[in-house]
Amino acid sequence: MIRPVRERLQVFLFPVEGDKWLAILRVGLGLQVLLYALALKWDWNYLLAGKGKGQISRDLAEALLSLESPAVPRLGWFVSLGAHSGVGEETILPLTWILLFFAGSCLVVGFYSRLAAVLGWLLHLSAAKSGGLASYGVDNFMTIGLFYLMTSPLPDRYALDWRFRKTTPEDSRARGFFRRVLQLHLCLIYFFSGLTKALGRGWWDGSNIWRALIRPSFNVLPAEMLIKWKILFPIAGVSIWLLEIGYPFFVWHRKLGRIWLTCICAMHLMIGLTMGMYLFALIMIVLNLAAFGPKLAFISHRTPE
Amino acid sequence: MTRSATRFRVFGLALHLTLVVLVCSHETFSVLAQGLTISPRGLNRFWDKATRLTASTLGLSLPASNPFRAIMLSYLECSGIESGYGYFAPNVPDSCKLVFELHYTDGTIGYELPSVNSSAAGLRLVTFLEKLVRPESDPFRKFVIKTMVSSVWHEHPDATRIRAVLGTIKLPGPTEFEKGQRNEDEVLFAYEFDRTEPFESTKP
Repeated sequence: MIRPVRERLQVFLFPVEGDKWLAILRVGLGLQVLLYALALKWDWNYLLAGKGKGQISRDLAEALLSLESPAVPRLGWFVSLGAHSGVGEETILPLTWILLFFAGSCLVVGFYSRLAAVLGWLLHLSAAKSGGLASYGVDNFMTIGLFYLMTSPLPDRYALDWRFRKTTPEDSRARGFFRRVLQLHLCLIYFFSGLTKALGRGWWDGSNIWRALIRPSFNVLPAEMLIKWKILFPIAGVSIWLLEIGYPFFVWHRKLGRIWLTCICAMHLMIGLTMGMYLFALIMIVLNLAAFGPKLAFISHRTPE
Repeated sequence: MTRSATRFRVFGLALHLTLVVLVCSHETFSVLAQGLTISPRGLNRFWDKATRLTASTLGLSLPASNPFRAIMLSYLECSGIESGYGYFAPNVPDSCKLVFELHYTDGTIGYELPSVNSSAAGLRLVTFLEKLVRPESDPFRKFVIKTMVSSVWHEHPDATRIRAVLGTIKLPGPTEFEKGQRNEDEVLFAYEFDRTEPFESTKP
């Protein structure tokens, strides 16, 4: 009884897997890092400078972080390191931006993929934590993606590393395992996201859709135009949390899985377009496509090695 | 892949996903305990207990100096799983606004808003202001606003007094909007600073 369960679990957790999903994750996260860096280029110092330089002080966020988790990377470490070498914050901050941009570029083409993933994770996490007071969901998802990417069996065969650096391919079951981790994590993310929404009255009567769309800084579309579609708000509200709660149950299904994945990606695309949350939309679409995109999981573990 | 590598990976996966479930459950229970959901109010005490249980399992109820708590929180932060995924849930909050009122010696008054150069940074500013209005963080709020005011003063050295006003933007419902109602500002906190005494008052 125990042995078949163990074997089934092993087949489920270690499916034979190609590396297309890893290529999607690497290129997608590389693009995400590039766009993140470009989007914050002119506000990098404003958000991350120390006391007395930017309006939102990095020192405060880092002090709070030190109280909670002293081992988490932060930009203050790089600034202190620079200070020891006689390099000031005004040089270190732009340098971290350049390195982050460089890491993103390397990830896109697959040049020193592992090192680029580690560097991207380290610098993005440092920036996100040092600007912790102004960080939001996109930072969490970028950290999750980069954390999985740097621990995954890189490089994939589409990376420059594969062609020029003669790296040895990893076990295809190891690749399958890391994809499974991402798939299971996404299932938990959507389940809890949908559940918390379903608990709010505003997601049943559609008022939360209206409020989300007209909130200042998210109000890309004029309210006068949106109000004409008010009859659709309750349908959209209920559809969103149903789609999210149903994700872990239906995304694995042979036929429904594709529909579910398409609907989820369309939802994120709409959030990006109608609320101006382009970076958030991109990271969610990248994670979804890497997890369930190229081939549905139940097919991949049957593919011969 | 060796058997020990397989075991190590399975153990790591189980631990990682357990932490994800615990963090998500903690946040969900916390939302339920606050009574802001469709859950019956009579259950709030139960949800409160569940929140405390998940918090203690994660080591959140331990003192900040405890090594287990420090290791746990560091891992959660480094892997990006330190918070749940209840964005815009259970309800979409009102938006926030911070205005600096600059007073000059000749009696003129100028106004300044915190501004950024891109919409991506704008979303971060909104998040930042939302964290500032949370009721439990008054000393934190005062400190942060004081820091921001010192930066504004740096750009406007002629101003003798600065009043920082933090509030929310009340959003109308669809029906109220159709009746002509629009966004309304509501002042929540106001802080006055002058050159000699940094903190004058904290009255709205």
